[in-house]
Amino acid sequence: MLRLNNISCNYGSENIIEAISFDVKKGEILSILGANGSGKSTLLKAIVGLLPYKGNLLLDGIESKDLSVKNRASLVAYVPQSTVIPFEFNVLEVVLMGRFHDSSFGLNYSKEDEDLALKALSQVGIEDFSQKIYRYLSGGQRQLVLIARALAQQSPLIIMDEPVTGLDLGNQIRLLDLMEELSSLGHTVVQTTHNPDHALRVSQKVVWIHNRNILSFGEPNIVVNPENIRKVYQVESELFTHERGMTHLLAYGFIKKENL
Amino acid sequence: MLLKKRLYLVGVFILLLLSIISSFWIGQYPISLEEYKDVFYYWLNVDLNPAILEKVKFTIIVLEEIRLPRIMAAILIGAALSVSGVVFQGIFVNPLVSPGILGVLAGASFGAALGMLLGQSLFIIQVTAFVFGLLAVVFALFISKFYAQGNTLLMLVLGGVISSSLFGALLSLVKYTADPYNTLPSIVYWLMGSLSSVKLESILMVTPWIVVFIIILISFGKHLNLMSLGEDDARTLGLDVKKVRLLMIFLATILSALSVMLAGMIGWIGLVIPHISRFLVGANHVLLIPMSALLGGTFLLIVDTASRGFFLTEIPLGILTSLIGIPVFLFVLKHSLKS
Repeated sequence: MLRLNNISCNYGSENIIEAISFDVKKGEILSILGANGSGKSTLLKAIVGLLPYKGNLLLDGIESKDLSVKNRASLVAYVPQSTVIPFEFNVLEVVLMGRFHDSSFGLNYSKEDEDLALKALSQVGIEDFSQKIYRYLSGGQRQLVLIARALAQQSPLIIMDEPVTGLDLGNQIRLLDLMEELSSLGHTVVQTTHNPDHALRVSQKVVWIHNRNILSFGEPNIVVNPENIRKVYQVESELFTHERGMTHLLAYGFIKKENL
Repeated sequence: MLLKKRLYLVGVFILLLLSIISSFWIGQYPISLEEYKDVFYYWLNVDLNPAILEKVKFTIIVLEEIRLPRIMAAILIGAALSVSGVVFQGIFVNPLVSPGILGVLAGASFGAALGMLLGQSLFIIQVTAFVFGLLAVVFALFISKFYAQGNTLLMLVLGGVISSSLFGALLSLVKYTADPYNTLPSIVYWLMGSLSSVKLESILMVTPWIVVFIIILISFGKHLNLMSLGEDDARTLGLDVKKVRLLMIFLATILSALSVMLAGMIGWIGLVIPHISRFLVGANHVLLIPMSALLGGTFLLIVDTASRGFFLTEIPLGILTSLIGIPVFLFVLKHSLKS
């Protein structure tokens, strides 16, 4: 579904990411882990077509550069870290905009589009919000609206930039469950996260980005390990497997540079 | 919710009709209610007694040749400026933007002043106003294109600032060189905005353009909605931002340039009316643009009628729109902050 081959991006003369290669199959969830400023968001922006890149980036087998903006939107949906809208759109209007790429030229969205938007709202559990004004919602609620908008887009690939940031515990777990549900429906999900537990919990593949490059790529129970955690976050940690079969990470002790 | 918004549209439309009816009636030349009624019958093709027709003949001329052009001009210019304001605010993702942001008003002012300095006819002055209005925006776009790196919206704003300053300076230069007894006062007066020199021919010439451009902009309402989320969101949702933005800038610029060309500088409408309209019908451009057009037309018509009916000498429109617009704006701002 998504294949990156030797992808590099730069701002001006400075390379933000270099020679990144990996691939994600249909229906898989990929989590991207890495320290602040490691280039995770840059990588996502390149994937959704917001930044120019060097190398090959295939969306469903098609080079992303060669896609029209509209066709790209029908293949890949994006949940940004946050969107500030200075105008008073209501939530339904914002979510309906996810249907734009598939709607015909005209004044209004069709009944089907509206149904898809309402369905997306109920998938993230905020169907009661449809008439509320987006800009007056809390940060977490806005995040849910943006996720609903991406779902309404009905694209096979969904890219989320730190989607759980700002969500309360209940909504975090709901979102992780939703990712699994989407993947079982055949969607491919790519997320960045700062929580290795979440990567362990939902993903089939994990990428560590470190110093502009891939540190390691593979199955979560292999690549999310104390060694990588130490390299990336300078933190000592230990992995535990709970009797429910979930693995989670206990991090302790920040290591000072000289002791690394 | 939607019903309420549509009712607001109908309400403003009725207000516009009432304003038109009263605007025909109010003016320096007094018309009795009886005469006014007879003229209406005449317009509705009701057979009138020839004696009555003879009596209201002069009234008909006043209404058709003096008041009709002004009424049409007020509605069209109010609508054009408001819609232009809405579109620029959407494009720049900022409700505080006004139609002059890319320099169209400064350019058109300079163009008109230049035409006056060269002692040209009204037609030529209108042409130079229009042409320099467009040129100023092209100049702003060129600057932003030339230096575009990263945030192109920011570069557009800078391009507009530079273009506005340049044409502002050129305008001052024209004023400085103009004959202080004849040309300078007419430039200054023209810059204050007025509909008193509007001719029916020029109105008829620009009407179809303004109407068509507003209709095109309404039909791009969905696109404008996406654009007002910002460049990145619009793009990932499937909007080819650069192309559509250029088209929207072009249409909104022409609307502004046409208004300056007809009536000089009428400030404030392009900022206030979009706000009030958003307060009434929300941010969806499919409803917002028609609302702004209706409300802008109504507002300017009322202000223009007041300016020629309630004062001994006509007060320039630009002054009145600000004096009336500011309290209205403050009132709406207070209410919209409360909700």
